[in-house]
Amino acid sequence: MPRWMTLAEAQARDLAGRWLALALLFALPATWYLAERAAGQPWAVGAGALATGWTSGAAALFAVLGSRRIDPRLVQAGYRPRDLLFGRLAVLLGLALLTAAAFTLLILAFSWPRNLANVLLGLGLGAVVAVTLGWVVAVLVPHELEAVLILIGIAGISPTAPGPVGEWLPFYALLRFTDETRPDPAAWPLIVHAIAYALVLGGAATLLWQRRVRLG
Amino acid sequence: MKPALTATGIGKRFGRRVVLTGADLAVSPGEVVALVGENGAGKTTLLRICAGVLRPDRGLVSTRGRVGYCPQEPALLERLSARDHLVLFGGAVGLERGRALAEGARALDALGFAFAGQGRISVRHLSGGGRQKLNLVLSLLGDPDVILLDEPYQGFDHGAYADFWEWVGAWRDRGKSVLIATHLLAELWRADRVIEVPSCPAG
Repeated sequence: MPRWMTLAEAQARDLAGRWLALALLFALPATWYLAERAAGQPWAVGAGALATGWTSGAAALFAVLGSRRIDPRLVQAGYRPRDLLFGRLAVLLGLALLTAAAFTLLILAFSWPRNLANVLLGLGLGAVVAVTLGWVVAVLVPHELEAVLILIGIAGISPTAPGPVGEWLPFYALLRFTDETRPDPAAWPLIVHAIAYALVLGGAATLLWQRRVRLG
Repeated sequence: MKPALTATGIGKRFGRRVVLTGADLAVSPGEVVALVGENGAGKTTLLRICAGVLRPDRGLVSTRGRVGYCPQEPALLERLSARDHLVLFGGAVGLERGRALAEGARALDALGFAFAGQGRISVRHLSGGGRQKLNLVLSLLGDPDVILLDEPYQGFDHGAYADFWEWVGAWRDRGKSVLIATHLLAELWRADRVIEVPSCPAG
């Protein structure tokens, strides 16, 4: 088995042991969406989608923070930093996409979105951005409370930030693709926005994190 | 004989606090060296630098052969079991699953860990001594040439403690280079050499 898969297996087992956290990963966006829907709000899908982004980012954040003591030891023991990186990313992206898929099934059961393709695009891209965002916040602010507050702040400000500011925030593509109160957006600029964000955040996280775990 | 571990001119500070200034040490194959010093003198810092998990501000570390490192505080994934950890750390040194489990179980059993009963329990539910035994065994997987141990016997019961020092003697006989940070002055006779890390004046 490739070494990154051994890491992925360990990461998956560690996450599987956190069954309450995994349940909340889906329950939080589901609750948010259902509450908004019950209130008849037209932005119910967007609100739930943003919550999936937040929970996926939080899962990545806690996975990185929870491993910050063992990572240098694993590298010392013989793993390459990229083994840890690929193994963890595979699990976290898989989990984020699973959450997005489960949320999609939920909204299909309760309300057929006006443009399903846009919702799928928004959730998929949002999952990738969320994981890299959670990772970079965990590397920059290696303390649980502070890091979570920053993530809450970024997610919380996203739907209310004035236009030009909102467009520069990481969850812009997710929000715009899933916002049913506005006309359908042009897809490509948003796809580029999300991919660029994921690449920049992922690149920054990788550089900073590798510096931390690499042999001195 | 050429040392398997050499550290020269190691300097390290954390913010304003100077921990190490020009520390030197060398450990040859078949030699057991004890690292002693007051609390906060920098034993752990020096060991971490030798292991390569901490970057020195100054100085060089060179090693010949693979290094096994047992940190003072067990760095483990709390929801994984001892089995999972053996597979994970075995993978780091190229051991396939079965061999990592066999090698690790044998070592843990020898320390009185009872791997058959406790091997599948999350490490967060293990006793302090159990976690420390696992911590030690993980550093020994793959038969390293240089063994760096930071007070590895904390929480050990008497039998495991006696076994540990027997292991140290066996490692010496097999030509391993062993560096142990310790507070136990009564055990220094077991070492071939003692290096004292002097306390730095508050900087």
